[in-house]
Amino acid sequence: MVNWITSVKSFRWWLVAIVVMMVLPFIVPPSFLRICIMANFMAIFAMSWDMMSGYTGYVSFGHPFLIGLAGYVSAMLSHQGGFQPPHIVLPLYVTMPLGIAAAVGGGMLFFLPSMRVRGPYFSLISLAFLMILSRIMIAAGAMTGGDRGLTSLPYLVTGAVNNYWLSTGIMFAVAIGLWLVARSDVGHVLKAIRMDEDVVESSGLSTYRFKRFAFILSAITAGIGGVFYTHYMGSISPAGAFDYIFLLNIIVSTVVGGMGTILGPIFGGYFITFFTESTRTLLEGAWRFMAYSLVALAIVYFRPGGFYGIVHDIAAWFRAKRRGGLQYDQVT
Amino acid sequence: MTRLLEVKGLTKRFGGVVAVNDLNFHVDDGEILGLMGPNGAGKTTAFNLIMGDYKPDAGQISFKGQDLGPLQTYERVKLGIARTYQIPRPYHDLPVIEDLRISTVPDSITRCLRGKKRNIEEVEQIGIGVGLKDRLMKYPHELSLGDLRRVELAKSIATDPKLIMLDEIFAGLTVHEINELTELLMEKKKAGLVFIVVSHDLKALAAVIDRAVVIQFGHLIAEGTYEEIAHDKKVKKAYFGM
Amino acid sequence: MLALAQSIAINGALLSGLYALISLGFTMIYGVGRVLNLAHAAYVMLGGYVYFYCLQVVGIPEPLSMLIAIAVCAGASLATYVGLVRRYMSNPTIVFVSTFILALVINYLVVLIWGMETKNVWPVVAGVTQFMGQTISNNLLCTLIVSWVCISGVLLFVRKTHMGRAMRALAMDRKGAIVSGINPDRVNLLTWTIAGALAGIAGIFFGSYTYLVPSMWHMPMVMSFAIVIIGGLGSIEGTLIASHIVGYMQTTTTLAIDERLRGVFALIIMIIVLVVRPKGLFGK
Repeated sequence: MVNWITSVKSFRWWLVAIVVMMVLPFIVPPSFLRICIMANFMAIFAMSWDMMSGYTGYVSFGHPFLIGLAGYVSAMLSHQGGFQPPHIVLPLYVTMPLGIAAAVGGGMLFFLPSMRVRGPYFSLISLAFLMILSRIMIAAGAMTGGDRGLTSLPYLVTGAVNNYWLSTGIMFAVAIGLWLVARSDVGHVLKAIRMDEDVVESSGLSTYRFKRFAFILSAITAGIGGVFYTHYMGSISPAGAFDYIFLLNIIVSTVVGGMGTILGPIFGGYFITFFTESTRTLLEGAWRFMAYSLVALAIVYFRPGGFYGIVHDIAAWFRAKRRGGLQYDQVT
Repeated sequence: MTRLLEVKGLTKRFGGVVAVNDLNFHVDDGEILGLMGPNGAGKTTAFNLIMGDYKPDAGQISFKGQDLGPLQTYERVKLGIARTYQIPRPYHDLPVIEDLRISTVPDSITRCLRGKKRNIEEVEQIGIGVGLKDRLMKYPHELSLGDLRRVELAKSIATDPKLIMLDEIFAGLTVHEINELTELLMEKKKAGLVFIVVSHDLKALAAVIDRAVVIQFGHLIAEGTYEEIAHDKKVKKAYFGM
Repeated sequence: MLALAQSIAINGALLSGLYALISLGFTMIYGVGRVLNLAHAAYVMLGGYVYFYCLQVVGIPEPLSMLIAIAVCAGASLATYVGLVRRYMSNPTIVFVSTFILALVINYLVVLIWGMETKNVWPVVAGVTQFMGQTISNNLLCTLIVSWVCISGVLLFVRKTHMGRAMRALAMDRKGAIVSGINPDRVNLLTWTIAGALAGIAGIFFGSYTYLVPSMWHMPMVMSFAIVIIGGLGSIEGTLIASHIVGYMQTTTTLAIDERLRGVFALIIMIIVLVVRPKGLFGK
């Protein structure tokens, strides 16, 4: 009974968020919903990055690699022609799982060796492979459409409202799944790895086993986001999938929201998407990216804990004031 | 008495420096062994080699008759070896109880995902057992050095080991704290735990150890009871240069 | 065939020298502070553009233009350390993310000031020399000489001077070095400055060896990652040797196999090194 109450209590913020998201389509115009759709995808990508980097401290610069690989594989297999035989066109329910599998397989092949080694190796390698993959995708023009990428891909659903429901559903499914992992002992160990990996190893835990699990979860999430995003947009190109700004958006969303949390990246994804959308008309081209990079830099520098950190500090302060002293359920 | 840990011909070089040089010693079931030597003698390196933090250049370490050579650190811990760090290494963002709990988490993803924080009572008992009863909710920066050493000890106990290696556990503590810790070790010894205690300070260990080995420049120079080594010429020379 | 081999030999030596200049700074910063500066390769680009601007737009004499370019890069590197990195030395995640964003800031700065079009930089030294039946531009030879003078300078500095020894001490045993009275902040300040200057020098010659374009920092960045991983992070000797492995491999790929595959083989070696000898060829 007590257990049941505590689990409802820990779910309460999810319930609030879900209710707000359910009401939204009835009160805002489709143009607003389109921004929400982008924000949902950014939230998925940010959660994926956070599962790997925010929790364990192994900073990945390769998430566009995972996302792009998933998107490209699904796009190439479902594309209605344009490239040479064998002329395979597969339905989406086949190509999308294959895309996700490609993200996991490709990620494990290229990134996992570097995770056996401590230190910044993982980060360097992930960035290096991101650049190489984008070169390969451009070079393999016959398959991938080269610089221009692949267009007129099949959609899953059409219309702003339907896509809103779809992306919101996926986003919450991913979020709750990751949250259940994060609040279990797995999340606990991953955070400990970020703080002192040697000590975790001395506690009789294979840190590699936990890092690998976090990576696979992250890659699955990135793959899910990648395939759904590709078939929402109906196109994929190197400029969209492998651009640094895309990578920057993912990382900044997480950092702004709060690393090592699940709600943080969701909030950050929404914040960053609405922020960039609202500056679209104010500044142009390089100026906008410049301003955006500088703002991102300022946030990382002055508030590395993100909004989650701020809210958490304030809430803890109030509770401590009310009850006088810390309680067990507050510190975990 | 059965042989628990056996170190044979252990050698480790860092660049041109030989940190541990053809070292031989063993620990039997039911005893507390002092591993002594002046600063820089290679004691901590020997610990790190036993834990698998480095690979030795030569030599063999066996535990309960099993060769540790191919095993990773976490596998050695699962066999029943634990260690504390000379400079305590708590997780800076976790309160003591959560810190300790990491040591009891099963090394399996599926078992971690099933059930949440089952082992909290067990961890509490271990924390209380080392005298941290009223400090389980505190963060590392709120604790004294003596308490941090207790946390280190509790963390190693929480891995359910047979052998614990304590690295300079008495250094920098007050006499009172040392006495309390000594009592604690004796209690744990009765419960069947085996210890290797490292110290550069001979006297601090007098009351604790059953037997001692003294090393200098990574080499064994004396072995015996405390009385024997305290009067050993080589040991005196190593410590006082006489 | 012989001509191709000679061409590979000469161009490879040149490219290796430039990569060594870039990677040395990158790895030295890691050695003394255990952080990596992802904006490092962006200074290479900055150096090239500043040199181009001073020499060909403003019309400042060549030696002075070089000095300005080098000073700007050294200053940028120093400012990165003081303004951005120093506060988060103990948090590599933040350093990673913030220096990566800084690289993009420099990228857009260059785009805003000089535009997206490619720019050709005049050769530092004009004319050609006949050598072993090959015609080599003096610019190439000059680049080769300068890079080796700089590399030797760094090696001499690290081995012979007090400050250089402090750097090595910090890289080998941080705690011990601090206990014996080395001020890590001062060593960091100097290391970041030197690293920036080396990147600036590399930028000047990179620009005149190829051309300037706002994406020119990508390849040096990836290659310096590969180099430090192959050579062993923080190892100066390893960096020198790995620079030549990667430099020659890249030249061979470009001239003899397929230009589009350049970089791929270096990354494959990097993965093999990681699997077989994770600490790099010379890592400790």
